Amino acid sequence: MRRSHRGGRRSPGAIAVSLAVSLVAALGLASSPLAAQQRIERGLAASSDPTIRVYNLSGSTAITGWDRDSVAIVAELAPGAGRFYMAGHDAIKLGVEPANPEGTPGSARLEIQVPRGSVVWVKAADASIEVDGVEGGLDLYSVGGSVRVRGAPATVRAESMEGSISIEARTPWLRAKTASGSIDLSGEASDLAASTVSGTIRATAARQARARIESVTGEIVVSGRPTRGGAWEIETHSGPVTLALAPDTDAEIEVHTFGGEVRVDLGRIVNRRIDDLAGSDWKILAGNGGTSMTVRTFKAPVTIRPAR
Amino acid sequence: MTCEEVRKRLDEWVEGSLDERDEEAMAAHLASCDACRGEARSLEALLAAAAGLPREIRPPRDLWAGIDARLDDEPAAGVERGEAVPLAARRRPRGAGLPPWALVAAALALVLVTAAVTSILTRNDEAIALKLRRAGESAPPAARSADDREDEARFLAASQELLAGLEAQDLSPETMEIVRRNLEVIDAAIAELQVALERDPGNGELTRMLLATYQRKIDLLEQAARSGEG
Amino acid sequence: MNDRVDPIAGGSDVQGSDLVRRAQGGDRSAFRRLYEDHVGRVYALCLRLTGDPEDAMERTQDVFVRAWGKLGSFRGEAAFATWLHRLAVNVVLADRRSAGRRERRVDVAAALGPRSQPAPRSGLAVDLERAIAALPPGARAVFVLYDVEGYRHEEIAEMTGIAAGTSKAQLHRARKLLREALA
Repeated sequence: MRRSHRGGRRSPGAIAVSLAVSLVAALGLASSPLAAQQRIERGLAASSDPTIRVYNLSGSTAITGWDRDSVAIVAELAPGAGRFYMAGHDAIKLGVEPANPEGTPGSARLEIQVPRGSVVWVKAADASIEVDGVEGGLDLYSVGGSVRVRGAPATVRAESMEGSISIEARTPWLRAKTASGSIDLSGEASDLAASTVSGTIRATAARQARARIESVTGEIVVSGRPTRGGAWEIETHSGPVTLALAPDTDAEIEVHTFGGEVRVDLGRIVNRRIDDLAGSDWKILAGNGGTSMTVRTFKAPVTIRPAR
Repeated sequence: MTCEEVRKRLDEWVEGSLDERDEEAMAAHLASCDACRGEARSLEALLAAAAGLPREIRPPRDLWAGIDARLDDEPAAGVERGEAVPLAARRRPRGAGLPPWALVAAALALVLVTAAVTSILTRNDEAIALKLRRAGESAPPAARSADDREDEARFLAASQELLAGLEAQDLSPETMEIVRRNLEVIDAAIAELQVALERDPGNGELTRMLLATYQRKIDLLEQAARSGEG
Repeated sequence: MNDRVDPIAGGSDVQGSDLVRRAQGGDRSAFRRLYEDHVGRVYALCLRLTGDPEDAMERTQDVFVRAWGKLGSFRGEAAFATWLHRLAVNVVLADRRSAGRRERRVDVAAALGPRSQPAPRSGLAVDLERAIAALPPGARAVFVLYDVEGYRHEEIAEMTGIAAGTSKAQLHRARKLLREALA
């Protein structure tokens, strides 16, 4: 988790650009809502680790970190998309304000370059969000749009009700949440929690330290070789759980389920208790143990097998 | 030194780690600049306050019982252990030890506090409130203290208030539809858990699952509320 | 080593190390005495690092359970209090699983009323504690470890896995945010 600090001195040229942009924004010379498809290119001087709030409800937002103390944006607004705005220096706000707040937001495609150390907050309705190479904290919220994160951010919070979330990033802290969207975790996190109601959660076990995965009815698949010393908690009401682990995995796996069927094709069942009323409890030792994985379900089936 | 430089290096100045030349420059600037002097003063006050915070704080409850119970699952201290955690050593589920409806009370009071509600919250909640109340009433009197009864009152008040006085949030119809569908999924799960709990009322694990599912419901509502905010 | 970690409260060094030795041998009541002597410090640290009383109490229990298991590796090179303190930092920082729920559980404690909160101290101290609890996790950890507990940046870097430079940056940010919050 490295933050690069380039110092905050603003060059006279950058100040001039920034003033010009502010002037343009203030005079309302940004895109008019009635214009045809518009392409806007803007630049803004910034500190090396600004907080950036991005609003783009519909379309797509792609944010990339770079090594300059400035923000550059290329925006393509569909007709009627709304008004583009951008302002700030340490705290930057930018985005597309819908022409008609009541109606459907028009679509806008934003490509934004931000200082690598930025803290980024994005809000979307059905716009997709992609972030790569940003090392500050990320807070990404969509309703129907997908969210995708790459790189090494300091923290990641990604939420989408219906859109899919894909985190390929390396981060110490990750929270991913959907209602029905799928969640794919293929990166690396020391502290991760993923939660859904009915979406599918897929997580690679490698390189995760502490993980909590939960769903109500969504399927959960954890695959790979769990990091040594890690701790996993998987909980679901009725979403089928599959642990597809490397054959030489070292783990202690506990399963508690009230009505789910448990199938174990990996490791050694060390203890098993089956009770009509209280369900079944299983303890499975794979290899030499060392990573703890606990699975709790109400009636979801649990399958523990070698990865193919 | 400019004000900006001063602000950046105040930390070092307060700790006395500037070299002589910078220290003089800093002192000279602070002598003549009211704004920066104010910043330096507030920083010093903050650090003094932080250093004055109590070093010890007694926890609100005695924690030994919980620790003692878990020590049973650990091998005796002094035995060399490798990295592997013995199978028996496991965290107990969250909320273990609290009466079930204190937990659900907390969950519902929470929804009230965060005001993350829509008109979609179903009548199920009232039924759940009543069921849990009855379950609480059938617990042995010794197990229910004045605090529990207070929680009960709060719980019922909260759920009543939620069901009676909700304000519709300004969410898009698409979002409402997503929330509705997923709430149905969660409510179905809650109903199943309730049935199971009726058959096995003392089951702590089931109660915990019920709470966790309730928490998911609150999460969903909060998530929906967030999507409506500007 | 920092000079802000107090010696074991309520017991001489000799008595303290005797307790440790007995606890290492499996003497549960000796360990309980150690718990009584140190829980205040541990809880204070956990509370400030997590920002939430319920979380802090769970972490405190985790710390003592972990300490029991690791007592075998305590060789008496440093004061037991120091060793326990470091272990507490590790337990809390390595165990941020519930961070997402944390801010909500603060609300629960409030909703359930005063009986689940520690007794308020002076007005200013409460404001500062609240402001600390409201800091973002990285900044909060560094502020608590540096300005409250007195660790150095190198020590913080070692304990938390961040670079010393990042620790300094987080401290700067924390102090700035706190001053703004308390202004």
